Amino acid sequence: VATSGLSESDAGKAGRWGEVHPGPAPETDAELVEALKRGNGGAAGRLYDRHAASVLGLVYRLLGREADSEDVAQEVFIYAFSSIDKLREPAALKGWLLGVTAGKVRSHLRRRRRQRWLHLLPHEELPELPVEPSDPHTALLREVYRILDQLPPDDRIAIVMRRIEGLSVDDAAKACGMSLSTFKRRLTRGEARFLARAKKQPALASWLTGGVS
Amino acid sequence: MTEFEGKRLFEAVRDALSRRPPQLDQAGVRRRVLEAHASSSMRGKRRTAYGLALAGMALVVAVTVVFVWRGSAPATFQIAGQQGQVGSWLQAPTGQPLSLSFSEGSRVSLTAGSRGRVGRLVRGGARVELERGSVQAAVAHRADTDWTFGAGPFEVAVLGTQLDVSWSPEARQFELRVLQGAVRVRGPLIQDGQEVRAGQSCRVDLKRRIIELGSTVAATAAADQPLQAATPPSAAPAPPEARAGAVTPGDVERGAVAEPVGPSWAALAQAGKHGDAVAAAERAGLPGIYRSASAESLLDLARASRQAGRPDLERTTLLECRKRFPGQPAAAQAAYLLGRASASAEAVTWFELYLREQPRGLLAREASGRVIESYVATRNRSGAKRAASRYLAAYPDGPHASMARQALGSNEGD
Repeated sequence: VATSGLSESDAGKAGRWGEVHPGPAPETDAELVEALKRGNGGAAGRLYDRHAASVLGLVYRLLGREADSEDVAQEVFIYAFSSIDKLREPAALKGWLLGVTAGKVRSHLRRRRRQRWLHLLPHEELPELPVEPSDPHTALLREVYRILDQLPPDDRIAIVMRRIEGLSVDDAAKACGMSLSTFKRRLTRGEARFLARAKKQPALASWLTGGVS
Repeated sequence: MTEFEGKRLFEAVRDALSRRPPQLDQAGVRRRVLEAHASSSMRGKRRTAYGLALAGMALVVAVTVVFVWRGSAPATFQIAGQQGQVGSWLQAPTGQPLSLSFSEGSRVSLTAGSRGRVGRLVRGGARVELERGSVQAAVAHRADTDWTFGAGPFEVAVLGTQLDVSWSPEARQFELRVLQGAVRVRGPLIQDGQEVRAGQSCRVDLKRRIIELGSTVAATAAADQPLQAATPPSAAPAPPEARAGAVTPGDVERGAVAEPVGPSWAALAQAGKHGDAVAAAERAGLPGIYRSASAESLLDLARASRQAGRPDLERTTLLECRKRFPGQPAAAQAAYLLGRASASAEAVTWFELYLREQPRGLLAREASGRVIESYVATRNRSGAKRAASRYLAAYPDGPHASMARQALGSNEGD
């Protein structure tokens, strides 16, 4: 391919720029990953700006705690930047970040459980809730996260990924780094545990039996 | 299959969560993440350099054990003829600098009243931490040079050079002047790093959140002779106009040392201010940038140009990048970006070029797919089929696989 033979004047004509790519296309995830791997100065910031909202939101929905969410999201990005070479398919950045997020949340939850066993955290610690007192769903969220807090981390993450994030079983399994069958087992087990506890809570039981509109 | 018993409950949870998004400090997380990333990158580079030094030493083992033993020893340093201690804080007396001589040939001077310490010694250098005041350094250039300066929250990585670093914790001001060689500085406001070359200065005012890049050529107030590294003797002397004086933020504010020229185009581009970055680059002079900027910087400028709606400048910059760095990965990257910026008929040429230069590059799959797109757009069906066959052979599950199968399924000829 003789690049020197390209017609610069033709190619530079304004009309031709708009022929196929009418406007500046945003940098793709693959290009962003490539830039980060090559040590491009601004790539880390651009990657963060693009994916911060979804990562922070996911961490928050998994944990139900604002303060912890920032710390865990920070761990997610620091790990992602330092381990970007492990990402084999640069275009799959978003899914990879989802998996990293699930992994960091799992570690965080396990740490918290260990601290509870060591009595460093109160057993009845309630998760922070995202709602104002006047919100009619306050009790609902409080009870849901109270129960999620009692479940093993893998069960909890499986439930949130599938039931709150609304991921397909396949995608949720991938994000959790599990085989499909393992994920289904965790989900089934987690849902059974969750429902058993939820049925004992009046604020939740009515949602299960259809008593609340 | 029965419906999940908690379906309504979790729908209500989703609804409740969406009513009030979490109040998370996204900008604060960004700052912390990028600061951590910047410092880990610096550590990684040091580890790599040290690892290479160790690998080199291993090769020399076969030649002479004594040489390696001597060569592998970390540097030492002396203060007024006395052996210095790593980690001990040093205070230069008022009105008098404190000079440190390092065994690998470098010299460092804490200017009068400054406080700092040698935080670490390695074979090819040291890490000097400045708590307050200024430090002048003449770093001996060696193959394994490993010198860093910490100044408050800023980090300066050095290759054979002469430089002045200042940090005022009270004023939250950082100042760097490079007299010879080049350094890369990272810290608050410049998390991603800023290269500063001989004759340039970089000043960061954290209170006013200003970064200023200027020239040290205007420096005239310096009274001291610049420090010279003891070895190697071939080290070039500092240019007379760049004599080292203790640079203070006050000097800069009075215009005695550096003439602030506003944020650099690179800093603006990294901050996402694409239009401003392009304007700053044009003010700074594109020919000079094309002559001296790194490959990464040229790609950044091209990217900023594209985002700023300046395809002419994007194209010129990418072509310059290819001209200056032939055969390097950045040139291939430029070819890919040229393809993305070109009309379909020409785009094929650039994407194919990328694939020739980087057949296993990170963008190879994307480039292969875009070749198909371009052929399809120009109704070149035979070309599309060839490209589709190649694509499916390499990436049967890739994002363009469906388009490739469609292209192969077409029975029409050209």
